[in-house]
Formats: sequence, structure tokens, C-alpha cells
Amino acid sequence: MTDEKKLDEQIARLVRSVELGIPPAVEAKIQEAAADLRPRAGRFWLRRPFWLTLIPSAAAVLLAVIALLPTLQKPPTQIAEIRTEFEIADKNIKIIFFQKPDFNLFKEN
Amino acid sequence: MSWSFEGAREPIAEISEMNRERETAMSKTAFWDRLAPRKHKLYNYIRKSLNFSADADDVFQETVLHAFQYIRSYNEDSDFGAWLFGIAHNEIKKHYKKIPKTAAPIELERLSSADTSHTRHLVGEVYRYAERLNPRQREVFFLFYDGGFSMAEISNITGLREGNIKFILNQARNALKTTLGVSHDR
Repeated sequence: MTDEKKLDEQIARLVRSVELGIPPAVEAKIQEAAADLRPRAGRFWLRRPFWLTLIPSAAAVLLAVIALLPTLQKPPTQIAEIRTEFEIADKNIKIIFFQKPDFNLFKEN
Repeated sequence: MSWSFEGAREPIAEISEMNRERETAMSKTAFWDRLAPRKHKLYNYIRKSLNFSADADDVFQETVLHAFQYIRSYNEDSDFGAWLFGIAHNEIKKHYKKIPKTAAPIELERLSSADTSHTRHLVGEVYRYAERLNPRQREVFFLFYDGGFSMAEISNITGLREGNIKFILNQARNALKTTLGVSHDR
């Protein structure tokens, strides 16, 4: 660990021995450009987390949609009538059964 | 009876405009005051991260102006240096997207303030190693060794995980150990 620290210090010393000054022309250019600029207000989502207030609203909308979904759905289709036909060809007889909704198919007497 | 606020509107608008002006002037002064002790370090970080390219001057200018414009988005609770270097990091990234190869051969040994020719040679070795790194690794290298930032701060600036930063620094140590270690014994 100390070896690592020593090595880090040595590298840092060598790296920092090269130091470049800011050219005066660059500094002047910056000052000139900054004179025309005005600090802007930061982007609103960075300044204040307004978007956080959207989360409960979005959750409320989602819950409302989930709650209303069954009422918005189409009611299940009901069989209005079951028609069964029998035809005895040689006797020229045709028997037709009608099952209406009031007829309970699975009801035991 | 009619109510009119016509007369009251103008002074209020004037006051708020004055407040805004005062606030702007204050944030402008505060910005330059805060930048002053860090600008040399910032300039060197950009210049070294861009392999001493002359484009570094433009990147430095962009960084300072961008920081100046968005000073209001700076959170007072956080470190100003890390915020500033974070902007520089983004500008460097933008530059590398536009111009992927950025290098300018300069005489590092001449620029170094080292007193002996041997130390100047070592400076050259260290910078030649940094030149071979990819842009992201080079940034980490200089943020740590030149900027003196901690791994947590570098992670905050670059968005890299501390584990990755540790790995990059260990690679640098291993690569430079032999060169520096041998010479250290001399």
C-alpha cells in the first residue's frame, strides 16, 4: 500500500512538473464572449425536480384507468337462442327446438 | 366602481427587473471568483487530456462559457470543482466525437520544470504512456495524477464506476512501475 502511494506520488510529481499557462489571447477571448452572455436559468428539470410531481399524477391516471377498465369493456355476449333442427326425410317431418335465455340448460328439477 | 392595477404593474415589473439584474451581476462575479483558483488546473486537464492539441484552447473556452451560462444550475451543496470538471469532461467527449484523433507532438522535456535531465526523461516516459491511452483512460489518469481528485470525485465527474477507475489506475501503475522503479534506484 505504501509502495503504491509512493508510486502515485512520484507519478503525480512528474505529471505536475509540466504546467501550461493559459494563453492571454484565450483569456481575452473568453472575457469578450462572456460580456455578451447572460447566465441562463438552468434547465428546469435540473433546477427543481418538477417532473417528480408528475409521478403521482401518472400513477393516479393509471389507477383510474385500471379501475374503469371493467366498466369500459364490452359486456360478455349472451346466447340469445339455441336452435336445433331434426329432419326426418322420408316422413317429411321437421322438428325444431328453440332454447331461449329463460330456459336454464343446467337446471335440475 | 372599477378596479385598475395599471399603475401598480409598472413599478413591480421594474423591481423584478432590477432584482434580476442584481442577481445576474452577483452570479457573474461569484462565477469568476470561483473559477479563478481552478482555471489553471482546468486548462491543464483539458490540454493534457487532448494530448496537447491546439484545439484544447477552444475546448477550454467552451467549457468556461458553458459553465458561466449555466452557473444557476450549479447546486451550492455540491463541489464547484467537480461540477466544472464535469462540464470539461463533456466538452472533451464532444470534441472526440467530432475529431477522434487529437494529438500534437510537443517537447515535453522542454516544458517540464524538472531540474535534471534524467527526471525530464521520466516526464517524457509518463506522458508517452498517457498518449497511448484511450481518451477516457487518459482523462482518468490526469484527473487523478494532475487534478488530484479522489476516485469518488472522478466517478462523479466522468460517470465511470469506481471499480473501473481503480482498474485504469492499476494498469497505469503496473505499466509505469518498471520504468520509474528502475530509475528510482539509480
